[in-house]
Amino acid sequence: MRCLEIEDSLENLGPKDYDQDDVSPQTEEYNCIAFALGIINRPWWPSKRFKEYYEWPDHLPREEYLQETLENFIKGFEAKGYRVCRNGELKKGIEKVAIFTVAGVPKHAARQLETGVWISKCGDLEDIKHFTLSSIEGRNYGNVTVFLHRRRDGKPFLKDRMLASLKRIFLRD
Amino acid sequence: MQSNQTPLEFTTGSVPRRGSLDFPEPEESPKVFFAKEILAKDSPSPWVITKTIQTIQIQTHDIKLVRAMVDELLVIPQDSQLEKEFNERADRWERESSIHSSPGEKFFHRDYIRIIGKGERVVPFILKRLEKSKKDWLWALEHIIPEEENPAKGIEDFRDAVQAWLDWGKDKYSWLR
Repeated sequence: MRCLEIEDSLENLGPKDYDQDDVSPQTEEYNCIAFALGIINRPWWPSKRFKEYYEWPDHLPREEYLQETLENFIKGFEAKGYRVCRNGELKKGIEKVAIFTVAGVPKHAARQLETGVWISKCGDLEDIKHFTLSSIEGRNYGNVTVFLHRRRDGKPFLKDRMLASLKRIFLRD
Repeated sequence: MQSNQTPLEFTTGSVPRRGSLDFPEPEESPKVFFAKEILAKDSPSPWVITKTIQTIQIQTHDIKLVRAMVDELLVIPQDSQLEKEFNERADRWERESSIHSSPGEKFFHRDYIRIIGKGERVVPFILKRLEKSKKDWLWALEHIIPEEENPAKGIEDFRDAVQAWLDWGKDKYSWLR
């Protein structure tokens, strides 16, 4: 099924840039950030309004609209086990996400599937599997600014395990 | 500052009763009839409308009728053009903002801002739309209605806030019930 509303809004996305046979229904139940985190029952955003509606980690700040910071979004993903990484290259056993910004303000996030294809929930519209990140870059979502990754098996990275061990040792007393 | 215009006067001098000889039974309700009477004049100012309604109130002693008229004034033909414009802008906003997850990006859309700029006259249209649409029309309501009147103040869940606004609307605009 062609997603004409998405194609109209994302000027670099053509009908062959996504899998037309595998798109979700339109829904407002969740948004791109939630979907990148694998959550499909509520939207994620550091909104000051409707704090019970927009999920965001309790220890992180809520921000004014259009003044959201990339740092806050990175910390939001870190709270779910992600760590900043260098690029979006496919790596076995690793799940990556890309955060898109316009003038430094986060607008969108996409998640990489095991096949290397990216998947995005486009606002209130469908979620689509797009073959490249550049196809959804443009005036609405801006450009990819940062990549994050986590292990697909849910376990922490070695570095995090070592840090946790060191904390246990040195903070024992 | 008060206008130099005088309140509108009805041709009979006093408000006729329905069914009397000089006031044939109108096809529409008296409130619509009176409201149309006011609006048939050349662009009466809000002050003229207010004074005219006061005059009717004095003449008829019918508070319910006057209240209904005020309600009606917000939605009858004078606003059909406004409602058309509202619907065009609202449809376009809902369509064009759907691509965004960022709430701020949705609200700072030219049509949404223009709708807010129309003020209280569009509130009934927003409420009507809010009954069916899942889009966030509450931001617009929050910026039109004075903060102290906001029925959803302090409510942290979007769906509960929508219900609070709809209940408020049904209380304020009888035709929404």
